[in-house]
Amino acid sequence: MNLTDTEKRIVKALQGCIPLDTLHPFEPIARECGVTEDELLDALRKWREDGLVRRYGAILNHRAVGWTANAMSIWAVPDCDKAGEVARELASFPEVSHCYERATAPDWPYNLFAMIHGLDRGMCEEIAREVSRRTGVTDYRLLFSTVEFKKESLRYF
Amino acid sequence: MSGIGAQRPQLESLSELDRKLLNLIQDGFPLAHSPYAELARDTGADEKQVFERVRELVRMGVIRRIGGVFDTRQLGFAGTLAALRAPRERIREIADIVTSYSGVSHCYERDDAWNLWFTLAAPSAADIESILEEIRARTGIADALNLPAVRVHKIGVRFGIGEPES
Repeated sequence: MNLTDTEKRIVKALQGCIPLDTLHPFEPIARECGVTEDELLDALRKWREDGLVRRYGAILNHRAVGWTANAMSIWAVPDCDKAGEVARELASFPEVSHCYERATAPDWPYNLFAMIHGLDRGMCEEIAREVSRRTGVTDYRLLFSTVEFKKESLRYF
Repeated sequence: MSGIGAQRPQLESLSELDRKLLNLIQDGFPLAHSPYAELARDTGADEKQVFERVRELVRMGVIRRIGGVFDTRQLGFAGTLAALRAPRERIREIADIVTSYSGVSHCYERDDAWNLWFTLAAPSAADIESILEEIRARTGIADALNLPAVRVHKIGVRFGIGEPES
């Protein structure tokens, strides 16, 4: 995707946090980018439609609101269609995010990954058990996070 | 850096307005000249009150950021999920090396032999490989898992903010 310099400036401005000292946060952002507020909001709406912006909103610290369990579920599903079926079941849970099929490696057979968030570990385990039950796929594991070393939004430009 | 178990949920201190706002603005912050006025209409509160609560939620650390989440690939970057097997007594030292790269946005210790997991974004797959090579050299760990996505099924999550258990 080839972005113009102005578009890169807009991405740079939007990849951070809106200014919190004004009732009209898009105004100073637009000024900073050398565009009008309408032009900024139009670009943002279009990018959201096209999927370049996956979401524009509040990113929560989920642990601060009780979602303390964070499991990376890994599934070995060699059949492509079956992997799609497991992914669909996983995706049906609002507590599941970042569901990807990934490359495997010599000592790593797990090709399907999904983050499962829960109020506690039991909740994560229950969701995985349910997906296993529905699909018949039993070769899966949950890798819970124990220490968070870094969690930031990417700075692209 | 934070031990997962050390964080105390602040659920009890959230008002009903806070919960409504958190549920609304995860999905989308209004793209408008007066976003707080729109949120006020949706929650039955007034604009100033909504503005104050949102600021407070950011100050409390309940909201990390209000902004855009971009599709890394559509922006033209390559990405991967990588992992190392770090000796337990060296894990902090190794995590410091890994997290020193700006392309590493997330890095966690997980309970497995492959105990250090991180996401890595860079302009190209070749750049990713060269960063991993540098990490291998700096840490002295020869083996790393490099697991790029081949298919995306779902990305977003929604954390429902409900009533605290009584």
